[in-house]
Amino acid sequence: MIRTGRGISTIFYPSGFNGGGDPDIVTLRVKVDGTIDITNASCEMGQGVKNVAVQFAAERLGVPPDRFSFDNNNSDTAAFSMDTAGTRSTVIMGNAVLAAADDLIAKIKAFVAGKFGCAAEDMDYDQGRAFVRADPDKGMTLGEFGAASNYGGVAIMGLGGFLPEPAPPRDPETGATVPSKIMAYGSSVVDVEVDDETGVVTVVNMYNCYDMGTVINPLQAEAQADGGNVQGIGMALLEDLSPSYPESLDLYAADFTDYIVPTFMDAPRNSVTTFYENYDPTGPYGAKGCGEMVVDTQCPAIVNAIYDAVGLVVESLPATPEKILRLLEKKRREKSQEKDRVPAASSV
Amino acid sequence: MKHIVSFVLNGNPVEAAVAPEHTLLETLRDGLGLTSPKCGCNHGDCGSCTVILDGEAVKSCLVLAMTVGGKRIETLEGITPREGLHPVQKAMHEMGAPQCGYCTPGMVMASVAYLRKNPAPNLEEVKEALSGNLCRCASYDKYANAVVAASRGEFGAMSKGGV
Amino acid sequence: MFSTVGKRMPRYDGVGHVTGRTIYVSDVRMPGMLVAKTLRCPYHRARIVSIDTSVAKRMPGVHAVITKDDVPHNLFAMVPDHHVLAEEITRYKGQNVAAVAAVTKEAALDALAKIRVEYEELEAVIDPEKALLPDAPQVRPEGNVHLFDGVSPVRRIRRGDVDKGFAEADFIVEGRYATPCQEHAPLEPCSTVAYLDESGKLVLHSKTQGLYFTLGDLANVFKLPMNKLKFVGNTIGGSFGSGNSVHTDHIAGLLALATGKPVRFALTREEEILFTTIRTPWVFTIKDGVRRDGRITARKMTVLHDCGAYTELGLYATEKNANLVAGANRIENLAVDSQMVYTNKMPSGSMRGFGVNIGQYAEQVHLDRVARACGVSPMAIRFINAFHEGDPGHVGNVLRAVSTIETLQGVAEAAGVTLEDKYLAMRSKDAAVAADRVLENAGRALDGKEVLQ
Repeated sequence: MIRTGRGISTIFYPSGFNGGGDPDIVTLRVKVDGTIDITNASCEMGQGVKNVAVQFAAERLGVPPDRFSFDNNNSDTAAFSMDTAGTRSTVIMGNAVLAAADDLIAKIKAFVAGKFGCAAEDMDYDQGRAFVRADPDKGMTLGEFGAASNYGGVAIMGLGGFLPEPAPPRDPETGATVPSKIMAYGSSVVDVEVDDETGVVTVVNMYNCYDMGTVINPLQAEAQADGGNVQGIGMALLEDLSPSYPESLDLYAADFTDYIVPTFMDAPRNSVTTFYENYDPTGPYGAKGCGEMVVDTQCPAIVNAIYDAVGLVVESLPATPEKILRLLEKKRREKSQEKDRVPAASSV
Repeated sequence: MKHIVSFVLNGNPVEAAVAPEHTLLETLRDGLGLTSPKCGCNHGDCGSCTVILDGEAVKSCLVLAMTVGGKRIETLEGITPREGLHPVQKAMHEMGAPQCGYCTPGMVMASVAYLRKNPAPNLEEVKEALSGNLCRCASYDKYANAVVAASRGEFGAMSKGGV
Repeated sequence: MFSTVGKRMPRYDGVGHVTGRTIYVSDVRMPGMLVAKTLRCPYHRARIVSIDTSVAKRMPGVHAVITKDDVPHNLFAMVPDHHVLAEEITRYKGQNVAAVAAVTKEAALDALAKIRVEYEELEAVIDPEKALLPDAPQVRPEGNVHLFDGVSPVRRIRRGDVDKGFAEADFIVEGRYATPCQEHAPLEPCSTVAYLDESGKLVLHSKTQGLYFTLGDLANVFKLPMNKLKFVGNTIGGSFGSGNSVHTDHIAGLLALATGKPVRFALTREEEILFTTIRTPWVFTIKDGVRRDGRITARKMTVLHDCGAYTELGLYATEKNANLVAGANRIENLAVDSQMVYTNKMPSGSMRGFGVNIGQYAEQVHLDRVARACGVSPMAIRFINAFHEGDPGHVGNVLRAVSTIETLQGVAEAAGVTLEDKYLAMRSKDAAVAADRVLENAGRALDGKEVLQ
């Protein structure tokens, strides 16, 4: 018989390395035609770090995103990045992009001011053009600046870095420290169907509400959230390298036939992700970070939904059909034994 | 001992020297220098190496190269128009389906082969048809929606049959 | 408000992905490139009595065979205690013992078969709870239990007074939760292409997630200055944390240095699943005290992290987990005891949700148990115990831009859950609650335990 259940979970997730102290550096280099190279060694592994960098730089410099290229190619040319991990790039690289853009604007102003015989303080910058505040016709576009600076032999590069403040040493007795100042929050509601004859659990609906601060690129954030949903299903229901652990590692998967990675058919039948944008005061444009905070809520919500459906607490992952059937059988046996016994006193 | 196998690759006749144990995937990548068929598992589990063999989507890691003599093989290099994108490619790109992109060539090939046979599928049918292609970033919803949108002509008309 | 931020901008590299033009490490080929393969230890734990590579070195097509003695500095990883090639004691099945570079895969595999290694198999320990026992096989010479700060086998969090909290409780709810070995399974298997450039610089096309992270790590292994070492990365075919550990870069680099030729070391899917870092298993116990109204009065947790044979990223995971494992709930009286134990299995890698989602599984499943014990709905228990703006986190840091309440309200609306008015009216920045909290926090600041930021 198919039994349905609904489960809830709520989580929080930090951005950046545990304890902070993980910097990134960004350089912005204006070419002769006014296009701009962003360099930073963050790895592109599908999370969309290139778009995020370009979107931040385009926003700050007030020019269209197609003006930029992103170079993360190698450790000789791309500026320092501590790592691409820990849901850190949007916040930390992002802040470094903004710092580099501000530095570039200041340097462009100084350069253009020199051309017009005035001081940098007398200059304004707006949408890719630096100009004399008192006489806006006197100015240079990024293209004009790129040609004049490069062909003029004047080295100008926007440089910026960002270091999340390192945490104080952890108190060995109380554990007191600052894991991360930026925290993202998320909650999910999941509906499942549990077949109590086969033990198969199907995720029907998956609703998420995530606060990752400002969503920099909803198209990518949704894709990451979809990935979190399916990876959460994998963690909750399918993935186990060694079913004989901890007794042994004798049974151990060696391929995708034995190690079950979710397919199209395992994705939730229906999923809805909404964003509650609670801006973080130190995140770039209020962003908090996305990558790992979208892969936490699903698993506990599914396990809670299984309880709602069949009254079983799955105390070890994953909730495979075999495990569900074993637990159902155990519950049945306990129930029939209970009938013969005097009812026990309630807890505490 | 290697043997020469002749077949039609993306409309062009080609010859490759292959050993009996070589797979079509190895031959396409290491013999003929293509990069779009990807090796994800080499066991036929993941679908990253999907190509179209005489009209059928196949996992090229499961096909022995010796068996493709005289056959027509299409890879993503052949599906991609000289200018612009095939509607399936366009839909997947604009609807944000690829994340890391490693499964994408296989997804495009499996989708194109499927749409030639089933030009107007619904979402469930697409998911079932593509269920042999794994995406660990798990853009499954976006891929399926993109294939349906492409089939409806939302990203341009699809040519029937050929490349 | 924004011109570009917040826009649905298709991927920067999306056209490359849908046309197959994106070049991944696994697509990189160099002229005259050699193929690398490694010999892996077949036992969970063993002593290497002898290694004889002399026959393998003379095999046709073989350019180099290397063992530990050929590694300039044989330790690597975030906590550099992992051996590039095994020393006397091997600690997990599949640990690299020797590596070969040859002209073809076949020649490399033939050479591996000719390396003679004499092993003495040793008793191994797989179960982390058994590894804690005094007579357990010693995974590492310094013992199986990691000593935090060099002294303490337990990593503690202490807030408030747990005993007092339990005394105030109407119900005590206990549970135990365990998570398994999990594989990252990015679709692109790990590989490296290594070669020397015209200046003698070692160039590695790598699947690392952190070019500089790995640069620093492997500069030590190769004993090369950083101007003689270059990592090429860019786009990789998924990673999910696997690329924070080195799987192929070190050995490909050593073989390129040994042969002067380009070397490709690519793992098969089997090697990747069987022998590289994983999301290692964890065991959690939770004991909660809760009042009839659903308010948690005390929480006591134990965490046991099975780190595998080497530290890799396991210590980082244990630390991060400890800070967050009590979940997105305000808990006045908290005690967490974490332990990290070494066992004879592949080491702990980082995996998406690293150190956190396994703990939040345990905590959130347990929270439902707590709700049932006091007859409160699963939604209500989360509102009742939710963090508010300015609340201290579990290790005392003040939380800001808090959204537990708002995301619960948001998801309830999306899922059609009807919330009671009092929960609909709740706000993280509720002035009354916030004022209350500020006073409490100010009090704490005075006794020096917590600092308001």
